[in-house]
Amino acid sequence: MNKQVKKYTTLYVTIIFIGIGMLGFFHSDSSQSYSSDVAHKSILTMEKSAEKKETSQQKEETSDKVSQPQKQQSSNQQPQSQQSQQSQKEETTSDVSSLIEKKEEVTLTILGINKTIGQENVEIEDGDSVFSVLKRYTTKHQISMKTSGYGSMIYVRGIGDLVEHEHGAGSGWVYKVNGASPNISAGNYEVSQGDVIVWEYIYSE
Amino acid sequence: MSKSKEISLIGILAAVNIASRIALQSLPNIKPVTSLIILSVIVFGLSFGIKLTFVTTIVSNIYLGMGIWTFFQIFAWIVICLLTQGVVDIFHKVKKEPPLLFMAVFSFCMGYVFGFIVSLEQFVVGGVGLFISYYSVGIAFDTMHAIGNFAFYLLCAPFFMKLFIKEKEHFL
Repeated sequence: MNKQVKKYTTLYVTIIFIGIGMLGFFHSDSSQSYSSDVAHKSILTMEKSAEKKETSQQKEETSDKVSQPQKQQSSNQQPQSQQSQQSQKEETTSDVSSLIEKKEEVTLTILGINKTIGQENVEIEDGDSVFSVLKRYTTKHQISMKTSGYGSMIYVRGIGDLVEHEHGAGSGWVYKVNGASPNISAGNYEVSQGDVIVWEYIYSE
Repeated sequence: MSKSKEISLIGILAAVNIASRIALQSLPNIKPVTSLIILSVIVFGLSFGIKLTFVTTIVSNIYLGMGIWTFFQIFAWIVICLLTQGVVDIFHKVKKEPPLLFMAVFSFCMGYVFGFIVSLEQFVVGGVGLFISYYSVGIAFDTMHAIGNFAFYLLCAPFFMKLFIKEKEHFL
């Protein structure tokens, strides 16, 4: 009886392994097209968010250091030229900052409802994430912050008086780095020199 | 072994496994489950081990979280049962009982086998790229599992082996 069990188990295991192999290779083929899809979508959202930024900034009429490079970005829609411009911008800013001081900085902007809560150049350290930059800024200025989760699973529920779900069901905080919204948690996104971080309160009323 | 005796034995051993899985969930992957399954396969045979695997995984995952990984955990332990049975059969052919230290090293290797098969979940979901990244991240945890298996096998085997064999003889 034991031999029969062994035989059937071997058969079962082999069939499952073949099934896993087939499914896996099927997904390996489709995963390439999937990733290209994602890349395409992220470019689209980048363009869209850039357009959106432009209109929102026209409304708010805030003319400062941040909005100018973003407007430049949004004016030319092709991603390649955008990237080259970004890299140029990074080079120039790093040149300037290395001349003045060696510390690396990112620009942090927090946009509330029809007003800017805060904007500042924040110094970064090695391994800083978008969330740790925000945390440093809020502790420095004593702005209250509500979060859930920890580490790479962090989720920002509220900054200052604005908490999620208070202005419509879909309201809450989202972040953008250089005009694009990354698909990963703020605790997982590593910032680099010259990044433009925008925390924006999305609401629909 | 009578049917009712088998069922009650499966129940008791599964309870031990489930309790250990839940009690030791704070430790990274160090659990006596694999060692106990290997031991029970050596003494009671393949079909007993597979039944024990099913009960252990399904009931403990009610507490720890049910998902697609439940299937892969069951599958991984079935493969371990099968490999154990194969090794034991080879030893029985030359009329020998499997030595303690050899089986401890074997259960050490089974830690990696388990990790590999559970990682295949990502292969099914996301293809080769996701699988490789997922598995390479998990190798440290697999090592913890393997070390835990080794320690628990050396700890459990002398005592449980006697107990199991006595049980088997008594109720044959």
